[in-house]
Amino acid sequence: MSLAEILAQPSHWLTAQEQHPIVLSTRVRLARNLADRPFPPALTAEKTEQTEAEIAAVLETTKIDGQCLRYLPLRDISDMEKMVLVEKHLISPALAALGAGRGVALSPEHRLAVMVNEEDHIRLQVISPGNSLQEAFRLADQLDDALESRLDFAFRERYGYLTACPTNVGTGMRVSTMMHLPALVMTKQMQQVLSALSPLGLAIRGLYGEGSKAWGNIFQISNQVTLGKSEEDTLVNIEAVTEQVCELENNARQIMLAGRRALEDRVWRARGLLSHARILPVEEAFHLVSEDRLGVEAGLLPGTRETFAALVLNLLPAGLRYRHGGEMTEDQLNAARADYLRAAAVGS
Amino acid sequence: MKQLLCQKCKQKEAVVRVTKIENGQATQMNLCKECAQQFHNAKILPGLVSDFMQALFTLKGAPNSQQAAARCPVCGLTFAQIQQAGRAGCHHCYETFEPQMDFLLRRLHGGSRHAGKVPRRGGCSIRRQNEVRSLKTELQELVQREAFEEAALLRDRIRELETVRGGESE
Ligand SMILES: [Zn+2]
Ligand SMILES: [Zn+2]
Repeated sequence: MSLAEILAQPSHWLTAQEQHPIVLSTRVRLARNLADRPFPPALTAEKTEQTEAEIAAVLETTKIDGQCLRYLPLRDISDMEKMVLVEKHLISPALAALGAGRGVALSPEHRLAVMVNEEDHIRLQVISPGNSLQEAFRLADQLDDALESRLDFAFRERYGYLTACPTNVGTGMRVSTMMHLPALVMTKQMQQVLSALSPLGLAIRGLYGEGSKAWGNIFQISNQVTLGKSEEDTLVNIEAVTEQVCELENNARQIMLAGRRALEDRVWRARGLLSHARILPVEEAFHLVSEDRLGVEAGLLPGTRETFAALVLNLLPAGLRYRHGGEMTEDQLNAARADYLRAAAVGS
Repeated sequence: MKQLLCQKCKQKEAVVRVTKIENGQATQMNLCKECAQQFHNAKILPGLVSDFMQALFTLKGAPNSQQAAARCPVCGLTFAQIQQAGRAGCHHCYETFEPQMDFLLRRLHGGSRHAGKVPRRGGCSIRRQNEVRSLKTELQELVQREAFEEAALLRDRIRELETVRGGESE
């Protein structure tokens, strides 16, 4: 399979047809480092590339759950392709900004993604559609076992897995669920939810991590604590909080549905704009797609052709440029976005 | 010892150093508890983040040994450099600067003892030790609840595990 083909493959988490009404996706990420050398930021260029070659060789000969990994060195990937990978959450913006000696190994449909030489030697990630934390964790754990049988990881009894950033020491595990919370935002309850979460050692952020805006009323909840809590405890904790937030969102949706005509008007207006607008800036498009989705979930609007996750991701600039084959101005992007929404997604 | 004043309200004593990132420029500020709280709340508005790295190094209570000037023998970083980057250079840094790192890990995570997965290779005895540790905590709880029958069973299990360990290491 060529590099272009791997990139062009639809990611499983975007296309899976069974959609959860609130949880778009679940991610589990493990940070691991080789025991016999400094962390990537402290390696020489030569040592970085040597480390890359060693890890890539192991990754390409590892098979998990019938899935093989294919290693893509960043030096073979254009800047546009890197941004597509960032938008799909397959690599971090930090990795995209780094040079030679780095890369990512992907499985078909991108269920597994392993970043090499970001700030840790290995960052393996499983991303699944819907609310499926335990399943995602099991796959990540299996991959970790397979890698560990062939690589020596930096580990100390007291501190667990050692990582470049002290925030990841211990399990090295970051778990997150991505949730669509339009009713909580519209009924102005988000602030309450946020303040309830922070004392629990959980972080909540927008679609693209730290400092990103909550476009489309999409939020990610993730654990902050990695030391002193087992993987299982962390999973249970995030699962419970995700359930609770879902419940709050559902209640808020019920309350909005009580004023049926007002909600109907709102979501049909969104559908109307999506089906007819000729120019859609990204923020407005996110907003409309979110309201439209609320209408679909409430049974007020007919469904869309693509999943909500795919609709949202396909509005982003790098993906649009990639699919249109190159550079585009802001105006061209806004037009292409409106065309996409009219034809491919909402229009019937 | 000279008191450090909060750089925001300029009234109370500063206890936290936060890093503010604005337009790609990082500036450090020493803040009092209240102002730091406000700083954090402001960061937790929808879509933003409460980044633990922001309040990484408290000024108060941090062990401040002479070691701070030493270098990690493997990667060559000083503790000041680690602090500045917010990243360790290699896993030996955690040993070299153990008092500071331990303090930091406690601040970040609330605990400083790993309770999770142990690598399979060579991890056998560590896994057993971890099990003994968690069983002992459980035992204490049982005794407190006066569930003596269950406690006796658990005590036997712990003894069993400890005998294996002793036999192995001696
Ligand atoms: Zn103050
Ligand atoms: Zn070091």
